[in-house]
Amino acid sequence: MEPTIEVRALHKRYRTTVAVDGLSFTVRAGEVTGFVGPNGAGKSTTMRLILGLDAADEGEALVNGRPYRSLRTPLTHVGALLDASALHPGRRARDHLLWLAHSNGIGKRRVSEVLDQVGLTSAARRRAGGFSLGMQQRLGIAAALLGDPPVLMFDEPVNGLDPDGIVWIRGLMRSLAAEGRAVLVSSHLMGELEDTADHLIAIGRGRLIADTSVAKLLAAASKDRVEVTTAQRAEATTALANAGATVTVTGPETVVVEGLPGDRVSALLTGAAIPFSELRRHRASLEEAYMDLTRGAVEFAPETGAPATDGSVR
Amino acid sequence: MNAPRALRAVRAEWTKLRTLPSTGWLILLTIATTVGLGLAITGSLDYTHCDTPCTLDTTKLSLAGVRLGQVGILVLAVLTATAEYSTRTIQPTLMAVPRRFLVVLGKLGVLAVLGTAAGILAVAGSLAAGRGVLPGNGFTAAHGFPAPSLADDLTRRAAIGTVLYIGLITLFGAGLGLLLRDTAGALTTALALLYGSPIVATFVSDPKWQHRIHRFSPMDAGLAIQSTRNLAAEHIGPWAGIGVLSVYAAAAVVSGLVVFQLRDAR
Amino acid sequence: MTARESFPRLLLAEWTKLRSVSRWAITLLGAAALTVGLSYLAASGNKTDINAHPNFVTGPRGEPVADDFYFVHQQVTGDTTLTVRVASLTHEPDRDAADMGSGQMTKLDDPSPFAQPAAGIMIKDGTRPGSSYASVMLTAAQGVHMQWDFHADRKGSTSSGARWLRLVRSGNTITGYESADGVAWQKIGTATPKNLPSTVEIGFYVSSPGAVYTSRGGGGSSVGERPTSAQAAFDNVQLASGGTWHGESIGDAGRLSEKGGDRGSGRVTEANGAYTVVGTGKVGPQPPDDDMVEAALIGVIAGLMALIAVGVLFATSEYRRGMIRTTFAATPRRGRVLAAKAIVLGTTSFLVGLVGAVGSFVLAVPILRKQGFTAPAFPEPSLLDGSVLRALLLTAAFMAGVAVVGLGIGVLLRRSAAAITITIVLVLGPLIVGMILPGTSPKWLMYTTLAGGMATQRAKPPTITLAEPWAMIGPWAGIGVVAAWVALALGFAWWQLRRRDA
Repeated sequence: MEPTIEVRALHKRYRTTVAVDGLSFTVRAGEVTGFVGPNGAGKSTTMRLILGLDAADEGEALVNGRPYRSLRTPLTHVGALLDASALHPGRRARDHLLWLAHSNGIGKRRVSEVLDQVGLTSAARRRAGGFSLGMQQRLGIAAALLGDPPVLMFDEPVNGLDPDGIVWIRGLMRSLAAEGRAVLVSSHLMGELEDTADHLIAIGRGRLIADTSVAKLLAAASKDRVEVTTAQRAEATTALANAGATVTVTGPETVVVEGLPGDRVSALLTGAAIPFSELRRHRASLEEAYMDLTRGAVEFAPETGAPATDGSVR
Repeated sequence: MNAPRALRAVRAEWTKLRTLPSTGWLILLTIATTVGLGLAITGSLDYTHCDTPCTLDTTKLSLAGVRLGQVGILVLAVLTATAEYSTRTIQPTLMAVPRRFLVVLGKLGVLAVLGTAAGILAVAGSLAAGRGVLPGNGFTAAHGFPAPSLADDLTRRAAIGTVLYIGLITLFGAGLGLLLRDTAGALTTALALLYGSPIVATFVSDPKWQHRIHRFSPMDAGLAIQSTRNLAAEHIGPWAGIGVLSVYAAAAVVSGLVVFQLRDAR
Repeated sequence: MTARESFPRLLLAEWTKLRSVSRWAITLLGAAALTVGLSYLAASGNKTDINAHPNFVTGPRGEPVADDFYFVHQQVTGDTTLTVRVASLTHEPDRDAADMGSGQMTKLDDPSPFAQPAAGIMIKDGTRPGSSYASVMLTAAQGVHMQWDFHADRKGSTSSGARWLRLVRSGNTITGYESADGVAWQKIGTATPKNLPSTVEIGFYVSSPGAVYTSRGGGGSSVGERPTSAQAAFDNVQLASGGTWHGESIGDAGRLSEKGGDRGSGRVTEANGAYTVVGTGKVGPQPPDDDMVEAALIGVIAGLMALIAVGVLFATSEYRRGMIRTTFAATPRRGRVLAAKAIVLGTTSFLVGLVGAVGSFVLAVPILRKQGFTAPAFPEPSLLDGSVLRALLLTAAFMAGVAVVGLGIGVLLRRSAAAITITIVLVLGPLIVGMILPGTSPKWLMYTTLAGGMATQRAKPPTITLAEPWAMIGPWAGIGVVAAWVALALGFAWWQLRRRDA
């Protein structure tokens, strides 16, 4: 069966706070799915519910069609990195992976392989207490890869990695997806997922906001927006605003105009004798697209067609 | 329950324990303290200061070092449970073995074996130390104190009982650790119960209440099995005493297991 | 900010840290609650029937006393003088302790001057045991003493050979004299016994307190007492009024003794004006072993555990998530941080301990009184008594001291499991071991370990027959030991803090 994560009508409350509220989505194989939302949106909680660490009040979460707790050797089905610092400081890195391997009948050789894969072979005999943040992340990633699982979940994996490490992990995730695995990556920074994620699941306050492919989202966020580069930014802003457009300043000499087609912008500026050096269709960044989303600016439906936002309409 | 799954859980717990240096030190501490204190006590005995007939229970005194030595294995047992929470390794543990009962089984199984092994070594060492020191202090066969030998029923019972005691203390500590999930709380509670009750008993003047407290105090009741003389003077019978301690251990383990099963893995 | 200004702020910062962790605040309150609760419960299970089966009589001030001796006396009215020469005093050799139960028996030496075999002269309000008296005596090992009313003692010379003794009554004042030759007299002291009537019994006597043996072993302990006797030769007996001397055992008849043993009989024989007297028994205070204040403070053990936990965590929590770096960045002088923590923790624990101790006292004493702890054996203790106040304050100080030792050890070890374990074992371990070790060896344990602090709970001085090891040393010695440990623990902790990285 194709590796997947399925979440259906998941609900979890902690005392008075509702952390996850009727969440449903599917993570598919062969692509990197970004799991985004502001801090406190419920991303980590959802992951913990999927992994059976906490019990959901309602709903279910299935991995490859089965609940996590029913898996015989779960590490060979799902590899997860939730909290990289969940390590005993007195234990050597290699031994941490070793007991994980033993618990799921994974061979000793695999421990050396994953250590190599994440570049920790030289630090394998060091005690985890002396590891830097980045090394802890790498060790956590190694633990996730230990069982060679078809499903992978990473919670904020680039935390603490240096630029080299960030590049490396992006490449890793893409290659894992290319191998046909299902990869779920959560983050609260959209920029991280740019160029990495194929699909996006956005949640806010425990509810699903969007469940769409990144390409579609960017396309939708980008349409009707025009980016103008001009030396007379103030005059241009005034002129365009007076014409009814929404103008956002994005740089010392650039503005993004929304609400007017590109040729109309061009005509307005020319008519007002405001010179401009560039006029092009604005290509939204994922961050912008996400900001629109959570502002309710873009009402977006998941591919199944059911409404996804919290009801706000523009 | 799937046998391979259980075995893997046990193996993982064993790997966890054997890859921490504190495990070895704590077991060594247990053995060394038990033997050392036993040596100090038997070394301080003197046949010439004993009344006639001398009714000292030298076997029980040789094994009395466990009263202090148990601390080492108790700390190991508590930490095996609570350190998972303080270091948050409970997360990878439950991700690797989501069936919580198996996690507990693994921990308790490995701890019980370690505790028993430490107990056997501690008891053997204590008895050997006693054998070495007591004759020099006048406790010879001629005076009615033959060297303690496992061929003797009562001595054997005292030895086995002490090993059992250590094993039960291990389970008691692990159960409390699972129940309370907090190192400081579990340790304080365990030590207060073990050491506090005999001390409270000495404060209380009413012999009836003293008797009651001694009977139900986990350490006093559990170590009643060490007596090889003056058995009538003990507050509780030997196996009944082990039974009392078993109840404590069982209560701790069962409640710890229940809490572990039901609560979120925080 | 000058150095002087910042220390109070440091104190405030540490206090905020302590009170803001709800778990610790709850544990602190719990410590007081546990102390009071356990004290109350234990008091309900604590009974004594010593007043129903006393091993004492009631003295002139209503206190428990022993009044057994052999008295050769006659009645006298008004002012009078009695002179006597004690030619010799022999005490029978110690007998081995036999049939006293299992375990090793150790003879206890009571250093009190009331526990000496003695031969001397006495003026007494009748022959009822417990009545007021004054006496001058030659003791077996402590020279000449003057004593009255079972509590007062004046030391005379240290001679041990033959001695002349004289008692002079003038109104309500009794003066005691001694002499080597019967010619030159030295005054020993002046006694003011309570209400000596004008008609009294006066004479010479011999007393010999029983020898106390204790055995300890296998978790229990027992005490036993063997009677002893002494023989003295008196001559040159001069009394102003004439009259016949009449010899009798005081205190023998009709008295039950908890400690058993045959009292033996005293006797007097006369030959040419010289008297040989054999006597047995003790004339002096006979306090019961139990201390009511201590019995009301049983819960201290429980509160102590909770305070140790808080003390250790107050130190180790700084190391958990590297908070210590923040703390030391704010205050680079690490010694002051440690001092501030110690002061805040010590003060808070002291207050918690005081609440626990006073609460225990207030709740448990009425219960104890209902269970048999009443006069005359146990006079009612009041919060205003000096010794009661001392016991409560020192107990609170003990609890605070142990908490601060926990803090020091927590700083040293940085791991809460090890620190809590070691501190608890330092306090309780010696008590457990002391209950097994035979004889008086537990005493050195009490002088060197934190367990000695338990001695602070007694209001009365320790009696010689006490079973509990921690009662073998005095309360000030106990708190002194705790103070030494506090200094050691904090000293080591400070040394380590300066040396190592945060």
